[in-house]
Amino acid sequence: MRVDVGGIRIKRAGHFVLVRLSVQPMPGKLADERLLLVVFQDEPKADQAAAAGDEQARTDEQLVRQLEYELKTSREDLQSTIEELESSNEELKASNEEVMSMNEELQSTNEELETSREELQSLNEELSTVNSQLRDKVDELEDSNDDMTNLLSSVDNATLFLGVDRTIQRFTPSATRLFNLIATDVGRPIDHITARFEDPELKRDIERVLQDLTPCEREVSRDDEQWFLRRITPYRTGDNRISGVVLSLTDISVLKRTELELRDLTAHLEQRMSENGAQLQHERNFIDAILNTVGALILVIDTEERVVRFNTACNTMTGYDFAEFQGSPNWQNLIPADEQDGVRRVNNRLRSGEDHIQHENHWIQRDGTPRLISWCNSVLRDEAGQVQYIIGTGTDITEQRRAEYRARETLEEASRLQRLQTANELATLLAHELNQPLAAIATYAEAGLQLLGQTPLAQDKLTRNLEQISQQSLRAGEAIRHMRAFVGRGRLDPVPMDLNAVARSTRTMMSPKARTRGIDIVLDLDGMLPPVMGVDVHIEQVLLNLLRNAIDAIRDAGMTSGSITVTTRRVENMAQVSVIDSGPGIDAAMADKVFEPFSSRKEYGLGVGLRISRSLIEAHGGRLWVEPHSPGGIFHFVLPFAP
Amino acid sequence: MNPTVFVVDDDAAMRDALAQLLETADLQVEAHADGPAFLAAFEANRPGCLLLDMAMPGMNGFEVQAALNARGLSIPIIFLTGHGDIPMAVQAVQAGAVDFLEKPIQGAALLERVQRALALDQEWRLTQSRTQAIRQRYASLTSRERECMALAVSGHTSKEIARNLGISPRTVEVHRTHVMHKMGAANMAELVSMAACCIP
Repeated sequence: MRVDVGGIRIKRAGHFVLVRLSVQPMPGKLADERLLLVVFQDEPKADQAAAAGDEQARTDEQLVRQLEYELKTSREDLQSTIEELESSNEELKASNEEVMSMNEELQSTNEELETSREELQSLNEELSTVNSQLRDKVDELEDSNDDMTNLLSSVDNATLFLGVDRTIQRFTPSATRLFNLIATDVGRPIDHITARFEDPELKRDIERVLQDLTPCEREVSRDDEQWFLRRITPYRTGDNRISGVVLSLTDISVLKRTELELRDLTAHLEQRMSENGAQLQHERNFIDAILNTVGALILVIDTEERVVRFNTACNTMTGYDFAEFQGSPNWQNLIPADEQDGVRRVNNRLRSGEDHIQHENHWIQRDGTPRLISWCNSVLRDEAGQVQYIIGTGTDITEQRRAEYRARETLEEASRLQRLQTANELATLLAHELNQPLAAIATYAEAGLQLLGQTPLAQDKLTRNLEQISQQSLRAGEAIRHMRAFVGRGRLDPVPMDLNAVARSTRTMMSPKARTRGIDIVLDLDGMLPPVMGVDVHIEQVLLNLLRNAIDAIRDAGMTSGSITVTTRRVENMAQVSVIDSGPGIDAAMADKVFEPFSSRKEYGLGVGLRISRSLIEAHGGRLWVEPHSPGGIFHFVLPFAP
Repeated sequence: MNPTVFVVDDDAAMRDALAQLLETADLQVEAHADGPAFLAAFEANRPGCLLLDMAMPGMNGFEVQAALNARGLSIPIIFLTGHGDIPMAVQAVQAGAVDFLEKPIQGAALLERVQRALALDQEWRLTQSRTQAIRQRYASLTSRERECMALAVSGHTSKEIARNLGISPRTVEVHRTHVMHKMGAANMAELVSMAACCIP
């Protein structure tokens, strides 16, 4: 490659000549030798002449350029001078503003000064007022001082005011009777004054009061005849500062004598009491032994619900000691949290006048096992008739209840199985009765199908065939009707029976189930009700069904307690039984549907139970219906009286 | 003689429906309301089969079957029942029933069973007429010939028979020839098969 540059000016012998410079690489002798050939070649002449002509022009140009440069420099100087001037102008302006603001500040300071002066004047005025008040106070003080002097001299109590250093500040005239004091003793320490009674503790007591700031009382005597109550109280100034003690002595000789007499009397009484006490103790031990031997739980609490008595049976049952509850209301922790309110209500009723309340609640043993306890609560009153203690006598009925529950379960299972068996029998009977017409229908249908496949179509045969099918369907319906009549007629053998007895026995059967759901079953029976015609197990089944439905309805409605009332009444020439519950009830819209099998309404357990119940009652020549009512479900049934 | 399907069912509708169904298959039907009526009407020479209801008042299906067996009347029996069980079916089949169907019955199935029963009856009747012919021929044998035949079919040679009966072998040969001829048996094997249905 080659680089070639023309028109380069170089100085040669005092002239500038234009040359062309060219540089190109050259191969060297050795392989790794690299050389460059540099050639300076003069430009042709014409160019050289032009270069000379240029020389003159270039000198002028240089001059001009210099002048221009100078001019430019001057101009820049001027510019910077102007800028400096402008900036100093601005600074001046700023200074001016500062001065102005200073002026304003000065002015405001002036105003403040003026205000201060006014304030000072008002202060002055206030001071003169305070001064006059002070003068009044001083006058008052003088008056009260006089009052006090008079007061002190008028009271009979010997009173001395001592300073912190135990010097006498002031004393009442009567003090001179007990201390050897004269007026000039003011300012002398109390130690220097002799007392006319025995009191070796005086000095120490004064010290103690000054230290603890608590008053100190002591009985001192003069020759064991005259007694004084010596009282030392700290002397507090108005600003609650201790500036000494007040020592006062009150004559209590009469009191003292009475007290001594009383003490004699008491001693005498105590002696007599101790004689009676032995017997009392004996009786107490006897009662204790009884309370601790009986199997029943006995808990006695006072009106504040603190335990007074917790017998051995309680201890054995709960695993807690009497000592753990004595005098404390914490026995309530034995009761599960959700039953505590109930127990509290019972106790409130007892406190407010009821004498006996039966109640059931759980107690939790130390190991956490709950036990169901049936309580019989009563109260113990003092002479004034005020309730003093609440006595609870409890029996652990956990096992009993469990047995009841199991018995009920067994009973229900048996009843269910019985129903199931009856249903089974009915189903078999019905199946047999229905199978004949159904088999005939099927065969006719098959024959019909064969006839349809034939050509020509035997229309008359087909018609007869279809007629037969229709007839057989009617026959099947007849079988069902016949079956129903059979159920009504063949299974019931009514005899005269007592509805009240049925009501009582069903209540007994359902009570455990009801009780676990907080439901009371109440009987309201007409004792004069004549016997009715019926099969008692069927009527019982109906009543059980109604009670079970009522219990389920109350539970399903989310109620935690409720009641079911069973009444028997004579209504016209029928015996009426009504079951009234505190559940949600059945409104008019639902009343028609509850007897449909598998009714959508769940609360009253309406599968087929009500339907069967109604059938049973109607088979007795009675009627069962629901009274639309909400809230509170009401079911009635009536039965004819025995002839 | 056309075969008859006998229907015995106490339920009139069922009887009628079965008759209708069978008639659609061009079968000759004779329905009876109870066992005695059928037994009175049935004769050994009437070909056919019997659709017999199991549960009937008075005389039930088994009893009808037993009465037929007692009289030596053989007709294929298809039992029909409302609610049968396996022991019942076993007893019926053991007593010679060909089928045991539960109501309601599918038409096609019933017709198929009935056809099969009729075919069976025909077969029985064929066998029976053949047996009867053999017995008639057997009756035409003399007592000596019967003795010879009995010993021959049980595999004895002529010499053994002669020794057994105390007669000469030559006489035995004559008796044997007569027996074969009278019975219409072409060989010994045929005679043995005939002997199965005529020698007590």
